[in-house]
Amino acid sequence: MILNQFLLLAAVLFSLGVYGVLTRRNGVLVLMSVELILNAVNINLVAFGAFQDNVQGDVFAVFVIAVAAAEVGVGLAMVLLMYRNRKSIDFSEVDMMRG
Amino acid sequence: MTEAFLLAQAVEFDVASNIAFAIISIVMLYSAFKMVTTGNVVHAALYLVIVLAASAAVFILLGSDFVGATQILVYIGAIIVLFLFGIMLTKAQLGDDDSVASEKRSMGALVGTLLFVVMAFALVDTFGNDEINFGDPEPIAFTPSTVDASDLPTPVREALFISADAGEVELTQAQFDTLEPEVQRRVPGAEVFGNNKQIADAIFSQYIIPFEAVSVLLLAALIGAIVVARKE
Repeated sequence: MILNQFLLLAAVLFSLGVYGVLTRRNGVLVLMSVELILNAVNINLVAFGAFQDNVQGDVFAVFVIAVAAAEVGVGLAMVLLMYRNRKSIDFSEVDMMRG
Repeated sequence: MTEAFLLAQAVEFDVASNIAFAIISIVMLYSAFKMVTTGNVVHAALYLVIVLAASAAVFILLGSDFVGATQILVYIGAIIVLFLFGIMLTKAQLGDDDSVASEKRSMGALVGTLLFVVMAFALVDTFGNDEINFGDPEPIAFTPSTVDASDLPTPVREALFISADAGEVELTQAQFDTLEPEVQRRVPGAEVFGNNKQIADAIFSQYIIPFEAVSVLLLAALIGAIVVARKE
């Protein structure tokens, strides 16, 4: 197997995640698209780890998974707070800090 | 085993893993596409499950079974449940995203496509056809040991002509070398399959400070989530 097939797969996944973040208005769906992006990065890390035949890629992938879990926890708490205050989780309505 | 046989085996392995890769990546990309375009929020979460499971399969295909297992445990086991809770607690409103201006959608598609084209160009330019080598069959490490014959797995006993009631037997390196690789893995004292040992060594020695930092981060995220989400 060549390295690039994994890297290109991850690149497509990353681009789909970016598309999701840009077009979704529902806060939960935006967070899900961020997960897609993080997963693409993980595939890259593991593929490079296998390519260089060491475990550092795997170790960093595990760290990324842990950080993603923390990010989802805090992110969903913020979405819930937003829902409680505004009865809406539409990210396009959040423009209080728009210049 | 001759060189030609080993080579044929490696090629066979490569074809099989390429077919597996093709199936996994088609399923993954289709689900990812549906996830970012579907109007139903719960369906999006279920498509995300498929994407995450497929990427766990990719990790296992790359020989990182530990990361694949962690992916399934943490992502599919915990994060998806969090997402479903988030969907339910916000009443899954805004399910239909048809109201998104088509201008916004086409801009998103443009940005995504451009990003992919730039990345693909850079990747192909940099790595070309670089191969990932996992096929090279290294000899399996073995520490000679004395074991009770009844503890040995049946294939090992049959290959070495040891009867189950032979009592204590001493396994030597010479005996070990006569075994087939699949049988060698099952001998007590043989190197364990996979790279879990190296990952554990790396996390708890070289990366001990990032590891501790991650545990503090998780604690901070836990407390932060409670503080943010609790009612006054």
